[in-house]
Amino acid sequence: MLLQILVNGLLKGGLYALMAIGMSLIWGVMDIINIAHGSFIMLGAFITYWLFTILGIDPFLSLLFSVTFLFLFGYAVQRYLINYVIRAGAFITLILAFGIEIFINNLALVSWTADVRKVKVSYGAANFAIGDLVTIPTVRLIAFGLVILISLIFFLILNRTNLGRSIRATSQDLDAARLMGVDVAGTYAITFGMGVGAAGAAGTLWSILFPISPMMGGALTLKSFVVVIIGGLGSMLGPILGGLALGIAEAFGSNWFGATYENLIGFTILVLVLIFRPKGILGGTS
Amino acid sequence: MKNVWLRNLVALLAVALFGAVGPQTAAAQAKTIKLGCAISFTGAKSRSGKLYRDAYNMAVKQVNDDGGVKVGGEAYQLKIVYYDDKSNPGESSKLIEKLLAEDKVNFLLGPYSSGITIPDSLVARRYRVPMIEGGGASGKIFSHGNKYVFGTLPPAGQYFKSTLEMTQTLKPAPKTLALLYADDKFDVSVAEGTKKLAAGMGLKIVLFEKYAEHTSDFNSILTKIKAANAEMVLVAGHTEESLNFTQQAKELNVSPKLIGMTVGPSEADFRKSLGADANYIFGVASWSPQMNFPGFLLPDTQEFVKKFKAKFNYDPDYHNASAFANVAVFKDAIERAGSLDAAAVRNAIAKTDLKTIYGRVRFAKNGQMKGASVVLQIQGGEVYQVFPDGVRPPIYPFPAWKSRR
Amino acid sequence: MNKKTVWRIAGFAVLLPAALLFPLVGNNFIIRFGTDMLMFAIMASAWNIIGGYTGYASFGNVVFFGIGAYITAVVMEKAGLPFWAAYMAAGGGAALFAVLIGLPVLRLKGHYFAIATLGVAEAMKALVQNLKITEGNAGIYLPMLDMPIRTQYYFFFYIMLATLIVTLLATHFLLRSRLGYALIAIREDEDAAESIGINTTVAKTIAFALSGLFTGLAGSVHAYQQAFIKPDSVFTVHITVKMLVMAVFGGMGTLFGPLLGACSIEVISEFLSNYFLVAHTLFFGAIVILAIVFTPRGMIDLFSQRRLSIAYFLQNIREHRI
Repeated sequence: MLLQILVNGLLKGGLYALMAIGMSLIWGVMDIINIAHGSFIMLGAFITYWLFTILGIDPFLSLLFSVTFLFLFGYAVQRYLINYVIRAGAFITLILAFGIEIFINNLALVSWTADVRKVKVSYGAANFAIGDLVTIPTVRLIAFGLVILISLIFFLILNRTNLGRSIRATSQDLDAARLMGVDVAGTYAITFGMGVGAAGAAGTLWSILFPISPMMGGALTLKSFVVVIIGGLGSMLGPILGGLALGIAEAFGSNWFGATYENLIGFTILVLVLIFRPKGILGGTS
Repeated sequence: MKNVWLRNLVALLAVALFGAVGPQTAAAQAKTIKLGCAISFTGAKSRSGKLYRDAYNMAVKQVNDDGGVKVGGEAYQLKIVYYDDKSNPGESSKLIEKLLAEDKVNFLLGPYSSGITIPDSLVARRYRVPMIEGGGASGKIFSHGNKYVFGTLPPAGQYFKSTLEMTQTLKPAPKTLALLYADDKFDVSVAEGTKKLAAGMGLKIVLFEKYAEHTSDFNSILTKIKAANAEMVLVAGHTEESLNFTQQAKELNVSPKLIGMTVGPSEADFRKSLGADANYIFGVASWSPQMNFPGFLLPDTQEFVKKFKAKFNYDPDYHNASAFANVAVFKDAIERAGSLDAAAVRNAIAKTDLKTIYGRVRFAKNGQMKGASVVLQIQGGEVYQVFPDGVRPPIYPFPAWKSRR
Repeated sequence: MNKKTVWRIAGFAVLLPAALLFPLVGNNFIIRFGTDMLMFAIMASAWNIIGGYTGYASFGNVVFFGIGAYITAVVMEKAGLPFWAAYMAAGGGAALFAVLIGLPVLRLKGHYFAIATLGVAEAMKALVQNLKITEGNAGIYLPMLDMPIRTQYYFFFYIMLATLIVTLLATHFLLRSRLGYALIAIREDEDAAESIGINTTVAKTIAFALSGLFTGLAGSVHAYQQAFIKPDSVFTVHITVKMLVMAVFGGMGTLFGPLLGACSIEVISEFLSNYFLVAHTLFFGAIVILAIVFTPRGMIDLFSQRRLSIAYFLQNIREHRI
């Protein structure tokens, strides 16, 4: 049973990491706390749902569409909205993101109603067992692989391409980057698009595992916060470590104290990490 | 959906151009009885809120088509004034105040969920205006001496009574029980009641576990169930939780001999979402579309089911029927009271003994309906009443996930 | 007397009689609406002390509201004490909590402070959901006020109004004190403030405690008025967001800005939800977006423009875009 709890925690952690990786990128590079992150996940989930329901496209295939669409959408949101207020400071962009969240959620609510929907694929609950000890749900394992893949892609883009150099340059010193000829506005928009695209991927996976509805985003944003903070900003390893740490802590915590303590555990860890290791479990102490 | 959008846009433009035009300009006030209702159009409870609104609207239309409510020789039309409580109890009670103080509604119809019903019913109490509600079953609503709230769902603590009684008829009868429940008012009441009943029947409770409302991940609880090796699992929660629980039970290959749930199985959404995986799950309800009672506004239950399905294109469940009965009780009580006086109508409601499509409605002293729940089971994608007086026998034990297909 | 003080006295002189007479002209619902407006004005103004003047954007101020509400419920329902005792305990308890949590959390800056306070609020909600004395997530009843209906509405309105007046007066005198200068110095440059001998820890903690005190008082009155509260409804992050949007919408770091923001946001949302049963929240989101883009310094700044023109809005965008 202990082994199963550990596996549950790890796989849940993978899902958390997938949710949070986009938020971490956006926060780390641009200092924008994207409160609307969960809403983008919701959009990814609904794109998958509609493609599956209307056109019969397999959710894993629709990953391409949800990521592409959300990348473009994120690009546009940054380019034509957030870029206009970005110099007013992190606090203002945070409230702007809040406005975007309300807008997206309620647009989804008005267009699709609050119905709970489910992508019904035959393999949604597929699993395999290792001996008699552990049962492993396949889709969660795939989510785990996907987050590693995405973080690898992000890592390569950031460290091996010209785009990555621009992103890092703007992140370190916006004015200097501009003087060096970097298209700052465009770089910001691409970064935001990448983060939101990752949210789209998380949405697709989420829709295979859980029921979806327009109001699902808020709770996911809060969880992502915890993951990003625990993992710390500035590295692609951060969200993965943060996700795994939270997943395992929740799995064991809810086993020992009871399932209603899950949130108490998560947010207590968040506050403690902030107080004692504000740069995340990877970073230094101050 | 599109035209709702368009209508709102047009309304916005109209307001912008012509200034504040009241939303209700229709004047024929002299001969209408206004029922006030703050219910969830948006937010987490909006899906269930819609179940109530559909049935309220259908019942009101039926009353009006049949000549309205007759008081002192005059016929009154019924009219519902709605507000969106945004699934927020604070918002909801404020809107009830608005309905009473500003819209001057005569009586109140209830919202959905026990947590919202309580603050709403406190406003009704403050104003001494009766409220009939079909969406809150927690004993806590009726435990505080509030004389102005009447509920048409049976007491939460008794929800699983019929399920437990049914298990005694099964062979071999399950002996161990895992009981999971959400931490909101209604489900806590269900769990506490069930625990007592189970102990009385000599069942062994091997797991009594509370989880947070809106939980999406049941892996740790399922792991515990597997370890405790419970023969029977009962879940008191909400539709989304029931969906998650079922899918994840399959993911982790947890197959107890019996899975029973409070909210979920009776609803069309639940079956649509899970498909074949919903089969063999037991549900409970105060009502099922397979019942047949002689009705008040409509000849009988089957007529209601037929008309409802034709109108809204989904199968009614107990939420719809309970809401339909709420309006029926109002019409009956107002006519018996012979006036629109709140106190007189309240007393008439308390003395209600009415045959409706939802069953016979009578209220206990605390205002909650006397009644019991029946057991349903999903078989071949349809819901059947299986106990008591089942139209089909229950299928037991639950076929293990691996053995399906 | 400087010019600002004159303006403030004039503001009080106009607003106070208007507020005092307000309940006499409306029906019960209008009074209730006014009471809620005052409640949010208190909370936005209290948020302004820590967020606007000190520059520490708390994202968890709802925790004080919830604590105030729950202290009131427990003191009245479980200990059977009268409302006045509960009201004092609620304010004191919230302020004390602000001190305890502020000592570690106020060491963090910017985003980290915001998220830490959010975490504190969420953790507190989860704790209250699990405690026996608060009756868990199921919610708790309070004794009901035993007065004629109309009197009840007056009662809650005037208590809320008195609390708001105290909040605004306290803020006004705070700003004229040494502590006030210290807070603003901290907002402008905390290291510099420290180097000129300001004890920043003490100053920040007092500001946070005051913020907590008034927010807790608002929570107390709210709980008594509702007569039933649930963790979800008094600890929801949406209340925090509302106070902060109100403060920004009206004008952060100004005395009357949050009040103005609270009144206008409440009126706008009420208007919208009257006309658009479903889509009102959608429009609300759009308004927040537009307000942030065009008037990030709030309405007070907008009104203080001599000449209102498109140029003002474009100027804002030019200043903040990249």
